[in-house]
Amino acid sequence: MNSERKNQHEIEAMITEALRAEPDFSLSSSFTDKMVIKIQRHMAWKELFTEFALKIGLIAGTLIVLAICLIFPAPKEGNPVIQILGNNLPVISIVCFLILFTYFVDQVLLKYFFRKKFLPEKSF
Amino acid sequence: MEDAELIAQIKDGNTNAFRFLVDKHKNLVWHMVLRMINRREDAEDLCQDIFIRVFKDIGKFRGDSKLSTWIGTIAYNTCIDHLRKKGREKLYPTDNLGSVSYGKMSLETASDKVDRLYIKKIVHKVIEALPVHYRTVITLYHLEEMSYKEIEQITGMPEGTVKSYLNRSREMVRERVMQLVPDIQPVLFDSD
Repeated sequence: MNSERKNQHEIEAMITEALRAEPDFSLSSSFTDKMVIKIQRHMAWKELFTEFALKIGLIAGTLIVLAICLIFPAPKEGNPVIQILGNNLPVISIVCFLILFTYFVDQVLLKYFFRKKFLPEKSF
Repeated sequence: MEDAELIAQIKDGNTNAFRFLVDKHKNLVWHMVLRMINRREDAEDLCQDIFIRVFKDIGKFRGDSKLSTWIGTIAYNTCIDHLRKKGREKLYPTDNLGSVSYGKMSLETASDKVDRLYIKKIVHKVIEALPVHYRTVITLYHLEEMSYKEIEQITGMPEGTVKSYLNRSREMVRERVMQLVPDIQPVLFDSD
């Protein structure tokens, strides 16, 4: 009876030991380095995008102020600026989109890929 | 380094602080992911996703719990989402273990080979066949040596449920090991 209890106790101890044992597989040794590189890329992207958004905000703000100055006060017979904008809305929209896209590519995408390609990964 | 100081430095964009955090907590995340999703091929990618989420959400950490518990919560939720998306695992426990695949492991000569390493392999295989919540609780308690309270914070299960799952899963492991290695008792008697 005593030896049976001792045996049970020993089985429990073996199972506990097995439960506490590390799995047979471990993370790759370069895991931390890979994570740091990913985070550096994430931070670089965020920094470039924030910078781009701030510049766009500044330009858009200036244009809005300019537009308000041009549109108000409106003459009684109709504002010529509004008429020009209204008549050429599709063209103006396409031009604005192209300028914005080119600016985005230049300020964010190219800078990001340049950093990614030409700088050593550790300093990225 | 204190958790608060570490978090402040990560928020300031210090990548060395982030490196320190990953080194300190990668085993916790790896063990949880490996045990919860049971697929080594997806495990490392999922660990990366978890640490990216930790980095993005670090500002939301209020210090109500330990940093390891907070990271554990993110790991747990990410794994549960992953399992839901894959839809190949029952998320809620049943008493039925189903069939367990033991791969190439031979049980024929169990009585000759019963040693700690052999039992460890069998126990790990049995754990793989447990329902995901049982696997999680047993891993956090035994492997990570977390308290019931910490497991409650990570999994969102009440402490009573954690204790119950832990007892039940341990019982299932013991039963299954005894079934698979019936000669374990004589061998141990002989060694007395």
